[in-house]
Amino acid sequence: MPKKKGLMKQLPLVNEEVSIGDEEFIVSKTNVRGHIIYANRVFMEISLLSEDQLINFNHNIIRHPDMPKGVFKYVWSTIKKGQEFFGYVKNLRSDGRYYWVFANITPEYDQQGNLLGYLSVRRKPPASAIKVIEPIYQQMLSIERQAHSDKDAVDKSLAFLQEELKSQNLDYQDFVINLFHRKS
Amino acid sequence: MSNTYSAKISKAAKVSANIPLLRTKVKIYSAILAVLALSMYIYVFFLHGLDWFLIATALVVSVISAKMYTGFRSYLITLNNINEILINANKGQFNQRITRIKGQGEVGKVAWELNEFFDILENYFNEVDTCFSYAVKNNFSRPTFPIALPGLLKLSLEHINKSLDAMSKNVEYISQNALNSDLYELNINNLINDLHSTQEDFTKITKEVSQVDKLAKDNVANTQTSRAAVKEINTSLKNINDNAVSVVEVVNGLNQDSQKIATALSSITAIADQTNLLALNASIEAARAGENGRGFAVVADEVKALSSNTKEIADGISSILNSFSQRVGEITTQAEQSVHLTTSANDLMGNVDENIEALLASAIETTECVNTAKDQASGSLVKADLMVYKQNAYRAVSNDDAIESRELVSLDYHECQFGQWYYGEQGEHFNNRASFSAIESPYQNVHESIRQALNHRDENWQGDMKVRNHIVENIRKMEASSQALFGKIDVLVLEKTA
Repeated sequence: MPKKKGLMKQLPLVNEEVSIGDEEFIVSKTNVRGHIIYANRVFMEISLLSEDQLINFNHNIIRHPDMPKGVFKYVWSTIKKGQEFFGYVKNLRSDGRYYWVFANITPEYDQQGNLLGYLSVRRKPPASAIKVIEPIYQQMLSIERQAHSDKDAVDKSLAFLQEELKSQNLDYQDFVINLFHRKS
Repeated sequence: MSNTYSAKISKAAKVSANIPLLRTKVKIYSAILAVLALSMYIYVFFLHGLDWFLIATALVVSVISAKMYTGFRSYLITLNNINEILINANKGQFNQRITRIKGQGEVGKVAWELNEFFDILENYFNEVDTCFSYAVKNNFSRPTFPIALPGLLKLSLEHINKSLDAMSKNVEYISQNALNSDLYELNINNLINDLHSTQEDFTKITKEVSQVDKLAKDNVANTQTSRAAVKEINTSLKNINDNAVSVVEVVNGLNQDSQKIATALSSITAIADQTNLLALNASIEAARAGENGRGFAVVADEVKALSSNTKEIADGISSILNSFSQRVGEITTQAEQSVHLTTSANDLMGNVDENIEALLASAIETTECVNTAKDQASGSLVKADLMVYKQNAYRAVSNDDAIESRELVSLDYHECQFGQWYYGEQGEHFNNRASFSAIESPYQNVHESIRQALNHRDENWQGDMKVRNHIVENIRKMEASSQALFGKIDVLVLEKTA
């Protein structure tokens, strides 16, 4: 009985950043279809959403309109292959403000090896990483806006990201992990 | 070990089973309260009739007991959930959480702390598990994330990161060693072959040079013989000259003799004239004689004297002729001697000619030998260029710091030493041969293999044995192409010198 994401739809955006603490992490779990089945207290505090407003909702209720769809296509294609995903994500909270996270998403299995769902652990990213990633997302977003269809938009913006990394001879995962560690 | 562990669990379960469950206790207490309230109500009713206060009290008590029963149920569900996830945690599963715990006070707090404890624990194990699953594949680019984990767990992940660094370095070191060892073996085997081939070349060159040496010695001997012959010719010719001088002298003598003969002959003519005159006179006088015979006697005496003079002159001529014929004999002898000398000089000249022919032939042969040796040396030299080039490739591939070697082997194939020979003036000396163009392909393959080996070298070769094998494979290809190339060079030199 997943509900529609009515609450966060057509929320007036506020261009102000909030962030979680350096030594905190957001933890959430979803079922195989991406509906939230667990959210920790840090998640509730930063998103200004209660357990009732999160559980059973699709995880994309906190998706910020500045995030290119191509990124989420990459997320799903990665975790569906059973691999972990790392990446920088701009999230929306219920007062219209936003917060950046460095997300790690891994598939969860039971002891028989059946897929249970996905676990996402999100930490506070360094500002230097956001400085690098934000212009890339903006370019992806403008590519998506020019596309004829949703599918075309996602394919093209993802192709742009992959081309960009290839031209610099970078592996996506090494790239984002190195951005995270450059600060420390 | 596992037996004692499971024994412990079943024992613990048994101990818990002996304690009456909270749920049963609540049921019992609620029931006791309800029964107490009911009996109070009945007792008071029979004793005093309707007492509104007591009835109200009894009702409150029964409501409380009902509330107690239902209220505690939600706590009990949460506690039950806590119990369940702890049981699973004991089985090594940390994925479960307790949700819907709003308004459960202390129980809710405990549940949240437990959730967060499991968040931390699950994340810790996830991190450890993931980075080691990468490390197993020799990939050390995925560190753990100790940030936001507490105390010992953070420390543990930091230690793991350090260990991963050390492992990465170790793998790098082991890979370097393995690569070096592979390359070393390849190099040694091929170097020996290369040196062997060069050794053969030098043997051939030495053979050619000793042939040249022999030819040069023969030439010296021939020249010495020729020099002796020429000396003899000189002496002979001098003798011929001397003989000619003698002949001139003899001929001069002959001339003088003939002048004498001429003088004698004119004397004879004069005498004859006089005799003629005397004979005329005698005939005249004889005509008168009839009268006088004495006059005739005088004429007769004169004629007698003249005839004796004539006899003397004739004798002189005869002796002159004798000496003349003697001198002519001398000339004949001299001339014969000259002929003899000329013949022997001719013979000697023939020998000189033969010697010079031999000298010429051997000079031509010498030049050919020298050319062969030169071509062979040329082939050897370019082989040596390639050997040096390959050694540089080994250095560049096995050592990051060998910048100079790397630059040398990264040169375009027109620019390296061998390329300069092949595409430059030196190569033109050979390039009219079909086998010359056959060299280009294996030569370019040597370059290409090295280029690819170096490209792989720039990848994560320490972490990935496949990449390392690619490097070694390319170097092996380089050696195979180089061997083919050496063969083609041999064919080229052989064709050129044949």
